[in-house]
Amino acid sequence: MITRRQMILGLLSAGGASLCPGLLKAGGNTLLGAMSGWVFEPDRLRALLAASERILPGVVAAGFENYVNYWLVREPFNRAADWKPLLNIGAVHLDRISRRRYKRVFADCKTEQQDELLASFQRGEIKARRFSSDAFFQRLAMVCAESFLSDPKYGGNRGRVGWHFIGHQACWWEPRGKLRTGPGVMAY
Amino acid sequence: MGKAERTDVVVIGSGAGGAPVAVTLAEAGARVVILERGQAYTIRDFTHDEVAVCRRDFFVPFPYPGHSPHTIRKRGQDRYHLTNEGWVGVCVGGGTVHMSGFTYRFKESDLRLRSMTGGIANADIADWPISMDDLLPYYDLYEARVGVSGRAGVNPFETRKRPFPLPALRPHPAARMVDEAAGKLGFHPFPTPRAILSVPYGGRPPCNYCGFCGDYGCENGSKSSVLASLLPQAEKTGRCQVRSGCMVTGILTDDQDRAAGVVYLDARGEEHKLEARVVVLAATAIESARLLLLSESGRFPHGLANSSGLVGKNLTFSTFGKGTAIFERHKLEKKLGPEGMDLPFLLRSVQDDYWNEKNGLLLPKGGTYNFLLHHPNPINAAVRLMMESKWSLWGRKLKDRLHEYFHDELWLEFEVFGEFLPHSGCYVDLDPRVRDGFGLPVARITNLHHPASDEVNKFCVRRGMDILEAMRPAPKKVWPFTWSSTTYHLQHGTCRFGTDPARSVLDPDCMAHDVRNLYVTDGSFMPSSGAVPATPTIMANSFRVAEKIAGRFRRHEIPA
Repeated sequence: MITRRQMILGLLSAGGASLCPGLLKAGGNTLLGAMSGWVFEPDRLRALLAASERILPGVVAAGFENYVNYWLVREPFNRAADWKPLLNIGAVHLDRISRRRYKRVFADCKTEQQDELLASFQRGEIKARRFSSDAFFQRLAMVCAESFLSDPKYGGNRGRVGWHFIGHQACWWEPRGKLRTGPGVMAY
Repeated sequence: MGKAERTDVVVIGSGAGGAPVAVTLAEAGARVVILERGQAYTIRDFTHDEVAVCRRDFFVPFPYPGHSPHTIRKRGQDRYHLTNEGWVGVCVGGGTVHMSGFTYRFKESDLRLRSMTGGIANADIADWPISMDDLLPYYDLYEARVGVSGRAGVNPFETRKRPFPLPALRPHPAARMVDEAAGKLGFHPFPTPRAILSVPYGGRPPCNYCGFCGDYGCENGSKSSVLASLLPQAEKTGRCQVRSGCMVTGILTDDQDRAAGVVYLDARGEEHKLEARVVVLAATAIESARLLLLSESGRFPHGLANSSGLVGKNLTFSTFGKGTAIFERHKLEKKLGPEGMDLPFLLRSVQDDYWNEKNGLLLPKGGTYNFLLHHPNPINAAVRLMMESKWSLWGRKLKDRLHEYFHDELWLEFEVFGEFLPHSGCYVDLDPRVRDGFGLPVARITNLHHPASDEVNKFCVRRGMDILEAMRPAPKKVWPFTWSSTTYHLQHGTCRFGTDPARSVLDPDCMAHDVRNLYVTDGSFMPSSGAVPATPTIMANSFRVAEKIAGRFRRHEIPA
């Protein structure tokens, strides 16, 4: 029987590498990179960070980079196996379209320009072979939400900033959090 | 394969179907081995980590070939694709570990659907070969053994004569609004029974009201999963052993067509033979059917216990619908007071439409409306907000909307559990192309709905919406979220029981017509799905079957 862990290691070493052979080298340079298969090349990451900040302001300061680089393909990932390649290709297209429209890479555009570009991605207007820009946008938005509101151990909710933002009325999801009212005592 | 080991009873699957049999027979003196393909978790493994548990499907396998996928074809699709739908809970304790624990009982109209409707075109419904009186004492037994909380005597449509073993949990104050609105419209709301402890019980602590029941394992041990209740009781006898990570690949029979044991692979992939006097199959309706179909041999060329050809047929799930209302928290606090506004359970249900001859539809049935608060999962809430805006909600607008959602909104919802009619378009068989990590063909699910169950579900969502809209203070928004969809982890029907071996797989005691001493005790036995989650019914029936087996042991009807 293949265990979850063996499966992940298998995908990381074989699947991850074969999906993006060019990136393996970049990933191999750091210990974390080696553990997570590969990390984004600096240019791709820059585009993704700029886009994610427009989608969910504050997400970058909260540690989006950690989440997307190191946690997205690590255990437990399951459904996220094909997310990273999609984000990577999306980043390429972000830069490609912004160069064409504004003569500079996405991260160097003005925020209004970035928003305009992202809106066309969101509406699925960017056409490219085997790439659906709305699917990319949705995946990136989902990863933003995950990183901002997940357990801080994944690196994307640094100092529980995401949980603080959404307030503590509903703090019962946070381990060791305080329960304002209610008959029970938190057992954590 | 090493030397064969011998035991009295082998149980395949440690969830709702398997645990009651195991504990009953172990207490009666039999040696029992439970084989469970999933891992054994303890409450220390259960956290509120939404990414791990919900967004990466902690409790079910990967949907990739070579691991453990299913394949599925749904309405409107012409091809099968890989999925992890159809898995319930692959761990010791099965789906009861991450269930929400809504513990409604079946009603006469569930057991007598065929005679009460006179049959429905293109639906293959059958009456149950047992009566409600056969089940009632076992519902009581189930509730007492695992710990179920509720309040009897409020629901005029309930199937019970005795009170609940535990008092009802404490509801959110907004439950009063449901009571008022539903009452105004002539409905009879009642406290939803839950398999959650409201007071200390059996050495387990009461609920801490964290709200992370559905999808999550309970880190408090207060949810009455079989992992928290029955399995420790079984192991305490000293005669029951739970072996996790053990995948059964075939059921063995002797030359007199009696069940003789199983072949399984342990966690290291080594094959073992385990001989047993009784084999109890309880691996979920889909996986049990798959194992029977896989256990073909010269004597059973179309799969074990399948002379009727019905193994895998008549698969039913539960039809699902949902409507949502948004209330402004400050208005609620004005009406209800600040006390208890953070409580996670609404605990209100309505069953007035359970049997409804006046609905004017093909199926004179409705379903169960279960009112509840939106799950506390924050990521899910954020993604749902974005999704419902068709992803146009992002940037500053998203941030503001999130703030509003978490600080000044209360999402109150209802779910409809409805009858899922068995018919020729919903079944499970072996996939001819895809194999799992053990090299075995995976289960292939075909799920096309019967139009009558969809129609009824749509009707129910409209009725539930009426209640939401009648609530005061008025919601700022009400909308139907989904209707006529499928709840995949409620599954039944693939080895239906009956008296006629040509038209059923199991006899009324859930023993296979074709193979003596082979029992199936998960949802497979059910010829109709009922209009409530079936877990309590599966467990009650499992206790019933266990007593039948124990009786046969006592009368020396099962050879040593």
